[in-house]
Amino acid sequence: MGYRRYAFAVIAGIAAVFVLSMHAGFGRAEDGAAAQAAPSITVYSGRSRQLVAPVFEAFERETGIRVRVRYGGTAELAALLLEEGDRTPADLFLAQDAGALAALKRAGRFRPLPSALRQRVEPRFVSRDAERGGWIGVSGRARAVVYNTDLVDPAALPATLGGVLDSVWAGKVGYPPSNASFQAMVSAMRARDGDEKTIEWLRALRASAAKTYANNTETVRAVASGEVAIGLVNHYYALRMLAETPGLPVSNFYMRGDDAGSLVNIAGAGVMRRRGGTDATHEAAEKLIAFLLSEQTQAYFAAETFEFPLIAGVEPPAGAPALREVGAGSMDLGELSDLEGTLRLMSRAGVLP
Amino acid sequence: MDTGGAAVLRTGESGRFLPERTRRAPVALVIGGSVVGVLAALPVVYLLVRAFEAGGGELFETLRRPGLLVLVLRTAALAGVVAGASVAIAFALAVLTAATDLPMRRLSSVVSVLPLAVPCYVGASAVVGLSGPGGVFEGMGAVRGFWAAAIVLTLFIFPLAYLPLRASISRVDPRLIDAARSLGESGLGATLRVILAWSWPACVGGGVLVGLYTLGEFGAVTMLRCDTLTAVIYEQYRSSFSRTGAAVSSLLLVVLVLACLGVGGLLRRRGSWSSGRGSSRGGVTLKLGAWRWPAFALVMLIGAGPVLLVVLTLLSWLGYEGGAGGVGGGLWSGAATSASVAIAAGVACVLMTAPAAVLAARYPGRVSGLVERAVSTGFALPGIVVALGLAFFALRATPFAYQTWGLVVAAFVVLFAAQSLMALRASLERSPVRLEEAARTLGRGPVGAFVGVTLPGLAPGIGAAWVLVTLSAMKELPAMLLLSPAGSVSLAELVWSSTREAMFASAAAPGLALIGVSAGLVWLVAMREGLT
Amino acid sequence: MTECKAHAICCRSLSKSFGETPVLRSLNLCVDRGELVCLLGPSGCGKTTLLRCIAGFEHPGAGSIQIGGKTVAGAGLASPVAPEARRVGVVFQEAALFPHLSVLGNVAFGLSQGRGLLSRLVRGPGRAERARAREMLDLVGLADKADRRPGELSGGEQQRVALARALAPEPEVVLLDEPFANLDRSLRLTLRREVRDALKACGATAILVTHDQDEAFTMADRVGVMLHGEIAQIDTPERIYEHPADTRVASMVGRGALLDASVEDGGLVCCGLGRVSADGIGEACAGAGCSVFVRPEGLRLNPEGCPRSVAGRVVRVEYAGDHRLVTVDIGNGAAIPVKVDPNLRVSVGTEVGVEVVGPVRVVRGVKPPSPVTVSAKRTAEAGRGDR
Ligand SMILES: Nc1ncnc2c1ncn2[C@@H]1O[C@H](COP(=O)(O)OP(=O)(O)O)[C@@H](O)[C@H]1O
Ligand SMILES: [Mg+2]
Repeated sequence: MGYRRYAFAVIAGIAAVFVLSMHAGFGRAEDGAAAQAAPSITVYSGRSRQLVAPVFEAFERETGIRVRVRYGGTAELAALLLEEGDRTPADLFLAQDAGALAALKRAGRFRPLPSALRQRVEPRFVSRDAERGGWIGVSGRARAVVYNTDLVDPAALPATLGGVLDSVWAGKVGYPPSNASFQAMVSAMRARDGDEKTIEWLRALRASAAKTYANNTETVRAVASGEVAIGLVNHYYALRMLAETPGLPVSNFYMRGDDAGSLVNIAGAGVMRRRGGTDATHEAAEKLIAFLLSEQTQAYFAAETFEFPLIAGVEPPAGAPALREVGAGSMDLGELSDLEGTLRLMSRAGVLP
Repeated sequence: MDTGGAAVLRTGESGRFLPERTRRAPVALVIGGSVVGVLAALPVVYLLVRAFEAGGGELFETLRRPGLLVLVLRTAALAGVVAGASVAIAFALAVLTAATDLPMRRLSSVVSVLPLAVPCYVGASAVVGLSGPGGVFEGMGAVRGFWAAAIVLTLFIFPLAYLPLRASISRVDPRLIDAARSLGESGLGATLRVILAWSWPACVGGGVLVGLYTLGEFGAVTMLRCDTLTAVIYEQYRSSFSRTGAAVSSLLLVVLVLACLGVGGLLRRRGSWSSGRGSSRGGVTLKLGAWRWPAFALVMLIGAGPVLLVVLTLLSWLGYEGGAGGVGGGLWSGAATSASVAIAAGVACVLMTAPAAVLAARYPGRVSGLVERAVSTGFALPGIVVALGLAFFALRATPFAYQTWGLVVAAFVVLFAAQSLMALRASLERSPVRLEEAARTLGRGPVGAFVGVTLPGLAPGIGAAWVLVTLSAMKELPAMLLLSPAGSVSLAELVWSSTREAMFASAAAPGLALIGVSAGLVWLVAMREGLT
Repeated sequence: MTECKAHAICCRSLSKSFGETPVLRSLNLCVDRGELVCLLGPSGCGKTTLLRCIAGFEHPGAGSIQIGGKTVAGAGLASPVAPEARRVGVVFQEAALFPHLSVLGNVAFGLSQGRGLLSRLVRGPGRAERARAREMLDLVGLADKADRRPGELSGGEQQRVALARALAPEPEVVLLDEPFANLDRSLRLTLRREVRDALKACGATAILVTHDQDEAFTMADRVGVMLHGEIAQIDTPERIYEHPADTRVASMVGRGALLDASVEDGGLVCCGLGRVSADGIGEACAGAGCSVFVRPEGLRLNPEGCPRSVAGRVVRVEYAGDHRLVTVDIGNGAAIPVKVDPNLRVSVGTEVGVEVVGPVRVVRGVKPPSPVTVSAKRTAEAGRGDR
């Protein structure tokens, strides 16, 4: 009997030694010395491993630069980057939405972007003053009205967010209020039209018996099943679903009115200011951004995530128009960072708890 | 409050061997025991820094947030409901498996712990998947909201209460049942009036543990769309990036933790009792008669049903396109990383909480009370808060430790020391202080008595403590994501990044691997607790 | 069966085995209302098992049990009556008090059966229940300890609380299983008296089992000697002492010499103590060979060579305050205990004569389990040792 109680201690001890030996090689030691020979950089990626790991691998193969990635939620990583300040080990931050990028820019966390990079994409997808420190978009995520092709005549679709409130759509609209992209749209609305107009619109939407869903996917599914006729979502969900299940009765419609309905948000990246940074790491990080903005990667994003390529000459995702036909946007994405104010407004309007 | 909160995590028979309060604890023990308390208190210090750095304005702004009261009440209600339901289920299963002639009692006991193998977020994502379009429960409408969260959480974490309850119930003196029945109590009446009262300290301890866990639970509640304080804390990190709002909400959570401990203290005092010799012989065996097999079916249904449902769901996802692929080689290194870090965390946790457990069991007082509160707070704080707090201190005080596994292990110690402390302490309380005194009279010095007698008293709890912490660490998400050295892969991260993109198919393989490894650990728990 | 209506409790042909081992063998026992029966038997003879069968914690393999004229186990019943429906109070060797309840709460535990389960579970005792519990505590002299927890009581107090708890619901019968075994001697003596007084004050019917002969004799209205799962003899203490039914009882109860004898004419038997007259030849002796039994006080120590004495040598002298017990070896390995005046000094090795002055009884020749002279005390000690 007696030996069994000590068996655990032994197992645990062996395990601990195993762990220590296994991970002794990790950690910061690699940062310095190895960097000169073949520079290696650390990336904080708010985009998940499934979607972006192949891109990093291709980059490593092509350049010989080693990329260490920390995957996590965009927001958590942003919070961590703020906490780390200039002691961060991260050379590059890849974020899924402009709000987090804007918050880091405000905190002065980004390095300047070389003009060669900035000029690759339309100015609306680059942060202001990027030459003094900022971010750049790497793929486009457009707002769209997804509609049920059996129930709705595309010609009758609302051209603006205001049109959604028309009585013909009462009870036929679905939207995901807790979803980040919907909230970004509300932020954009606030930035353009002010809080008063925004809250009015939200209240009217609620009053029109519009239905709420947990997320974009469920909203699109509800449209496909005819539960609602139209849904306010980001564009790639319907495209992805159509690719998986061809023949679903859903399609995207892109508003062109001069309001937040035509918002095009981005996934973007910025080079971090950090203490241990060298010219080599900065250069490597910029190379990675350039790689993200290469034709090859842009095509990959279009094919895999159905996002809009931001550089000229790359085909839009299957089933989507060209980016220049989408959005009317004179929207400054840098103004989308007051998400907290947006949430407060949304709960005042009663669309969030 | 001062003494009320202090002894809640105890689950043993409380005052069986009441240590003399007048004895002074050795200084080395006080210092050793305080280390884990100080470590666990770091996140709270960090929160205070963040909450007040922006001045009072933002603090009050957050406190005036509309719906905050509802939110706090909902969180407290969820913790209360999950704790109550978990204790009820755990009590029923513990009685059935430890004090009746249930068929296949060993199997039943292991099955009763099995749900621990399933991380709540995996369970919740399976439930969401099943109730969504194409799922088995499609017709039932979306499974969402407070009650959905309460049910899912209860089903997957009640074993936290089952373990201490079973240990306690298996020591009920069978004569007490005989006495009650000869005094006219029916089998059910005796079970409730005697066994429930006997195991009341364990009920409260287990309930508090489950309640604290619920307070800090994030994945399942967000997936099931039940907004709790923790969900809102994440929401605030996502939305404000200023961290002040999140810090204020987290401090509110700390208040809830203290309230939870306080309630536990009150409940415990109500039903406390100061003496009772545990049975060293075989425990109670109630005759179930015709109910034997229905009861067995019930245990299987509660213990194995949800786990089976999740595993089958994951298996069916595996069959989808891209199911087995997607992750590839990452799965193995992820499993190795998760397992080894979790194992190391278990060892560190046991080593660090052992002095605290001795302190709490032998010299209860102000210091041990504070340590216990700090450790409980760590258990209930969301992983992201602990991770950011440790990052904050590590970057300032020990920059060399940042981005090392050491910091991940430290975070796990903060997050899970409560479980370890509980298990170690319960085992110490079962080993009589008289033995130590006897050893002293036999000519051993205090150190000799400690090494020769007290440490072996810890031994039965060490396995349980280690396994519980390791299991929790396997499943932990945010601290692992934020603190592990960049470039590493863990199972939890693989599951997380897949479910986040609604790519259920690629979540299946790492999910199953996680459940598999955890099930192995559960088996260890079961063995450790003498269930097999 | 009907004749048992008069008895508070009646066991008929009770048998019980654990696996292959028979523990109760066709045991019969009837107890009158208000009577206190002590069952005396060595450890392992099945006393606890019998009580557990009566209480309903075990079910007999054969035979029947009636309590208060109602059959609770045995033929004619679909299933044995549950313990809680038998109205039997039990006092265990370890007091088995509920550690989570106060002394008063313990005593009131069995008084709340009239209420619903939920009410019993969450509400303390009601006013009437408290009053009755206090009454019982008064009876056992613990009224001032009502609010203590069991852990704060001494062993004797705990047993008294256990008794009060068992008596409180006015059970048909109270079963006490070696209630004093864990207590020290002086406490045991006072407690015997107190428990007997309390039982009598309530008019309770009780069965008390013990392996301590003094306890059985001082407390009982009737003593049942239990051996190997049977009641070997049940009678008043005096009759048990003076007229043991067989050799087993004789060697079990009290001291004495048990000798092989052969029957002769004229009410005489021939044994190691010579040719003496003996009682009960006809009833107990079949054929020529039988056993005779004589108590130490029925023998006298004479100087060596006295007439009518049998010669022997003193092998042991035990001083007991009011008497001395001298063991004399009279040859053939027969060691005879003789009670003498405490002032008589004899030393080991002295050659003496032993004379029969009291009654010699012929007892039924059931082979005793151990050598010729057996003391109940030594049996008891052996029994305690193997527990
Ligand atoms: N539950 C049981 N299973 C098997 N054997 C038992 C059990 N209970 C008692 N016995 C056996 O039955 C015999 C009588 O036991 P018991 O009634 O406790 O004796 P007593 O109380 O007279 O000392 C003993 O030999 C004991 O080992
Ligand atoms: Mg016994």
